[in-house]
Amino acid sequence: MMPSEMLKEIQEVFARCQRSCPTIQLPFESFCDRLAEIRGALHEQHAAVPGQDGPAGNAETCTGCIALTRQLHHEDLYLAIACARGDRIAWEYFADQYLPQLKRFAIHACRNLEASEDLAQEMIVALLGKSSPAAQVNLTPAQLESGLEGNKGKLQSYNGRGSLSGWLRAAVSHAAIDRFRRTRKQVSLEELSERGELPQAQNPDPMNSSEEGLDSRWGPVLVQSVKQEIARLSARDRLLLSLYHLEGVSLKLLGLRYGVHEATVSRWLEHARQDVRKGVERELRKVHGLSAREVGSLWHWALETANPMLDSVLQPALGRCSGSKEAARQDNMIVTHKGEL
Amino acid sequence: MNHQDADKAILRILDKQKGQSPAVCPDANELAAYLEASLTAGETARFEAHAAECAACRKALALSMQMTGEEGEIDAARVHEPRKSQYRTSPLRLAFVGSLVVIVGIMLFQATRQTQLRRETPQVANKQVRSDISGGPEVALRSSDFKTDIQAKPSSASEITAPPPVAMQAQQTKDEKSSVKPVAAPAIPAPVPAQMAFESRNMPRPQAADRIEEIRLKALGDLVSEAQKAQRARSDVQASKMEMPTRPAEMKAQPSQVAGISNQIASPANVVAPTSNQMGIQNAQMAQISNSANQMNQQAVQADRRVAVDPGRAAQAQAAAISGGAGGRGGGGGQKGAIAPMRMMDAPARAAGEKIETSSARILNSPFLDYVAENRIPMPMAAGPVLSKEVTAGFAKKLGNRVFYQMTRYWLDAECAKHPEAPLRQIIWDSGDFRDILRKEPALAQLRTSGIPVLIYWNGINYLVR
Repeated sequence: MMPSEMLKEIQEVFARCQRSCPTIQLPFESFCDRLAEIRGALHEQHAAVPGQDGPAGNAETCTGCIALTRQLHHEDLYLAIACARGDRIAWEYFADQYLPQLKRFAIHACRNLEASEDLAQEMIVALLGKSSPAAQVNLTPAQLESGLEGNKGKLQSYNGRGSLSGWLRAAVSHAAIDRFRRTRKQVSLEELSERGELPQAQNPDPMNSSEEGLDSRWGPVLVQSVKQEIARLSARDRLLLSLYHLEGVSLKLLGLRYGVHEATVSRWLEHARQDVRKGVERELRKVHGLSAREVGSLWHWALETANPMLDSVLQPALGRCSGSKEAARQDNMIVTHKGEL
Repeated sequence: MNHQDADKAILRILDKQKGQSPAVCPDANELAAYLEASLTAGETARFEAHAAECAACRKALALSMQMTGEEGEIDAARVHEPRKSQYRTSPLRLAFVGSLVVIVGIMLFQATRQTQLRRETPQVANKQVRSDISGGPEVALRSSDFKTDIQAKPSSASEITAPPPVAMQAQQTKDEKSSVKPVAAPAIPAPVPAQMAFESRNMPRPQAADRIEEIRLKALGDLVSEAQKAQRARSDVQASKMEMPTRPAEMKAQPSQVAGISNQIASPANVVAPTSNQMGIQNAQMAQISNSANQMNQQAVQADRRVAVDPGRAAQAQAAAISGGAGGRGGGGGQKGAIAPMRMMDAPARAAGEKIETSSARILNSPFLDYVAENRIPMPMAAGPVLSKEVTAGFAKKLGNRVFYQMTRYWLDAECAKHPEAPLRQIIWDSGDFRDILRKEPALAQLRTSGIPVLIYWNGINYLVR
């Protein structure tokens, strides 16, 4: 049972939402029910994280949940609930405001017109709630109507924590990655060999027998040490390193996310790298007795070598099945070769 | 050791780590909320910890961030707020501000002390001067000129020499400003340089007075000789300009020069009382200079250039010229509909005593401009914040059946002066009201090319079109 103060507040919010989209017919009870669902889910999340904004009582009385409920994007949520209920006018609102954005997101994710159209269609179908992939991007009112009846689409999962536009962006990103994975699985080894991209088994060079010894001796040590030092970094620093160096996100975008200048992000990254480097070198010198010169040559070897032994040492620890450069390159394909999506 | 090698090796190993996918991935809601910084601190930490390990979530996050960057939906202003706070608390910044305050304080202290010294010195020096000087003609000198010329010279009185020969027009103007003319004005002591004041304090009083007098006379003599030289050079230039075709730059420059002289003549400047027969000679020379200036005024007027002899009379003169040039009603020419610049050569004669009753004069004297001034209608590109009744430019234009006068950076419809009681309404060029006016009088469209506001009387309303 909802407290009367909360109910009054929700009524005000509902009235505001109705003013923003006056022609949408959404019952107040539906809005309240969805809000209660969202608050319950938030409360469960709170309960799952001990010590973080600890939940007080149940979802109705938890102050943290009530505060989060007040911060929701209510107008977007109102529109999403109405769309999920199959309100035709709500879908028209949605189509006017968000379908162009969705197409832009799809184009950005794919950088290929055909693929982006396919992705946009998939998304629209998912939003409409139809399982058939034959939906049209340019929806006519009849198509809209036919697709709406009785189907609760992906929009029902929108909970208003972020804006609807941001949610769409995230949903398109997820859909693009899923789509890429599906299409990547269809590439056969024959095709790869025809393209000349089949990973070649490396024959150990007899001239590099000394390096083999180096691999077997210092490879695991170095990898383990780096892993430990990376694990010691804060989650934010690890994420920053990964986003910048592996995913190719620019300093500017990272700065926008964290509300700082890009130079500050660059400094954070430099500090993180420095921490890892110094930690590894300290361990190599103190525990393993290496000199500064030997540590330097070890770094150089770790950078230059493409010996599978290093990867074979790394994989069991990292849970990978084939640790070649090719696999790493294919993992990066989404960002670096989006045209293939 | 090469740090770059180490960093690249770390990243390579990091690259191998990225395949791990722990637990349940956050959904689009959480990702969107993270991008918009709507998650709580705990949720953010949990999301970051997960995304650092989970390649799929990291890719989705990266892709979403890149879409965000392309859409430009994140407010760029957020970026600068933390920087402000960082700099605000920066000790370097505080130290810089502190040092700046100290420097400014020292400079203020020095300036205050110098001012105090200057105030003290004339009191010492001028008591003696006043006691020595009595009777005889008084010479008006601008104290600022005297101060500038004296203080620019070496501090020792014996080293005072004449300034370098005049070479440029601007220098000539400056020199002319320093010319002198005998007028009846109260005797105000001229300032004495600080060095002289110190010397005079240490010397016996009669000796100090003589010394000051000597320096002052020498400086006066220098000024007179410079003024004569400048006058001669200027006369040559004037003669050459009279022969050459008039150029706009000269037309602008000359009135200000002449006005500078006349202002110098008319201004109640600080006065230094002359003492001896030398001053009689100097007075004669100064009278000669002032006569030359008057001659120049007349020459300029004859050359059909705008000469502002006196700011108060200039407005009336302009008004007279407007009516004479535009409508032919003032007897100034009678060219019907001509777009004529104001002929200021008639101005002095008109301003001398004739009562001007023209339409432009009526505008000037009408309550309409008072109304504009009271309502603080801003002058576009004008120096003052409020419309002034002093006319700064004058052109007339006849468009259709209407006559417009350019005054105070407005085009004024002559009809507005007849209807000062009509309400004032401000409109813009593309408004429907102005289009209605243009339909009836298409000729008014030319006014738009002038780029300045226009006051038009239309259907009982005075429109200010911007």
